[in-house]
Amino acid sequence: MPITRREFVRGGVSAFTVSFAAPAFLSDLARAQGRSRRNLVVLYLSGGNDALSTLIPYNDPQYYARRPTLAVPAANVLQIGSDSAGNALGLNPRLTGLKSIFDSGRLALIQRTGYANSSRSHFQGTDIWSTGDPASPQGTGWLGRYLDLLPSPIDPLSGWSTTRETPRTLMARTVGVPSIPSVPAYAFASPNGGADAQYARESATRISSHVPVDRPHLAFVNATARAAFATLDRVATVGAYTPSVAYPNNGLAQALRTVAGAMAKSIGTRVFWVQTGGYDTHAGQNTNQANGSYAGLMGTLNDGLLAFYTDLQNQGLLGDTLVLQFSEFGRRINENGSQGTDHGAAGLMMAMGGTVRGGIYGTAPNLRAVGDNPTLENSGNDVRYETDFRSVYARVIDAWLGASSTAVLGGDFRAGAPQFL
Amino acid sequence: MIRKLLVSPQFTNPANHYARYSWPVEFVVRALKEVGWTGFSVNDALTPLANMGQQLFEPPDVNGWELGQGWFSTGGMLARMNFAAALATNQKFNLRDIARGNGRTPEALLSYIMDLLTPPSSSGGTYSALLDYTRAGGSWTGSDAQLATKASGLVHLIVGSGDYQII
Repeated sequence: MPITRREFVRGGVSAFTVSFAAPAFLSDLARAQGRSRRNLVVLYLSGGNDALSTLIPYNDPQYYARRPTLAVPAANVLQIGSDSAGNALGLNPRLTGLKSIFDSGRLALIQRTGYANSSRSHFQGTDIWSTGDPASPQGTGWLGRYLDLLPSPIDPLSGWSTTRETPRTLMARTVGVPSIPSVPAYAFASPNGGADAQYARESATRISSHVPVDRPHLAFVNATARAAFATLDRVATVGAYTPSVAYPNNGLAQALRTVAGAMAKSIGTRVFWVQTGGYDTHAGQNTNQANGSYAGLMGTLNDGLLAFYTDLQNQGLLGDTLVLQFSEFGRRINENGSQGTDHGAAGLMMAMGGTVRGGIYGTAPNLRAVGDNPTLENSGNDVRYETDFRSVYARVIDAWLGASSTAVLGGDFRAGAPQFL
Repeated sequence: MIRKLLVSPQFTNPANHYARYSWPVEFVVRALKEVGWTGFSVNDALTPLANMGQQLFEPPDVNGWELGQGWFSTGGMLARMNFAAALATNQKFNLRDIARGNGRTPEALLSYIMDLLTPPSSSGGTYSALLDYTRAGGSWTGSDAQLATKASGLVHLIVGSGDYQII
């Protein structure tokens, strides 16, 4: 049964039209919702970061015994002191910038973060960290649920994903968080110039304003288009941002540069998502080679974050910014036969910002592979979690975002939360 | 089996028509088939496809692409609109040529362009927005310049509309 043009014209009687919100109104809304000016930047290291190569227990002989080629020599680590249990720790040699931030008291390292019965699946692990719900990791994300709690109507630009797809963490019930990997590409092009381009934009905006109640698929797509139109002009202002430092020319650093620009231009975004990959280091991890894959990962992370931190400091924005970094799991303690490491359990979270109480939180694992070692699991092959990752989320929600962590997380995880804020 | 499928009430139920989100590659191929591809290289579609979230033969992980609503972030939707603009720009003079004799009035041109494409059932508000666009910019003369502008503009708006993304 073909559908004709006339049905196209005639159909959709059960539709209504959304009045298009003028940019001025949205700017007011953004200002009202963003009154606190506090920004949260979530940095996801995709693939499962090898926490034992980032924060190194360089005095543990088992570390060297179980990683004969990958262990970083004690002489090379950037020593940062000991945790509360007296375990000496050091940062990866490429993290010189993060070491300086740690020394200034603005970097918190939270060891052995995770949850019981840690999943070794990238997909399930990512969903669990995204939803904050190990038992049922579907549906909206933890930051999406935070956005759902903001006063309605919610500014579509309250969140910003710098990836092409909106991550589950930012999936909300009431607002579609925009994905903006490139500011210049986030524009409305037209085959014609001058006045006709403006007519085209007005018409496209009108078309997207229709909400057919009997066609949920179309209603969703039109809602996405409306969110795009509502955010175009404010996003465009970010393109004019001039940073105070030179950012490295890689995806992570350029994403952080864009985030700094969005903050500096005060466009109203309060939650940002930044992602960098390559951490699934099953083979050729080459921790100790200057041009090895893990050294490259650490170099990219260090140089990007240092540029971002310095830029925000110079712009007077550091005190309003919190960077929260995590990965979906840590990696096995033993290196494998391919000079890599396989999927493990507990990992390392970092928090960085102008008001962060820096330091080492939690305790390092004892890497001795015996059955009764309470810091390990899976017959001594994996690091067992000590701090529930949801308690870290709870601290961020309560102490930084000013919302209720019990409402967002669906439970009370405040007990035992590291006090880095 | 095929007979069973074709005569099933689910197959003929209009509620099941145009009820699936198109993949980027489905959207691009359909647009090329309906609008034209003269002077358009397949390579020209690869970057737009990536901007829409689909790098051909390179799914993000072993789980494949996230289908359905996952294709439609704001950036992905703008990428579709902007591909429609690039294609309409590329085919502007072909569209002008085929619109000659079919654009005596704004209504006639809109009718012709809509017959060229295959939009699904949609709201009357969409039609009025398209007609207002066609009429905007001064009195209608049906000149070659006007046909080139408005035919390409209408193709851009229809292919970039929400209606066109549902198959």
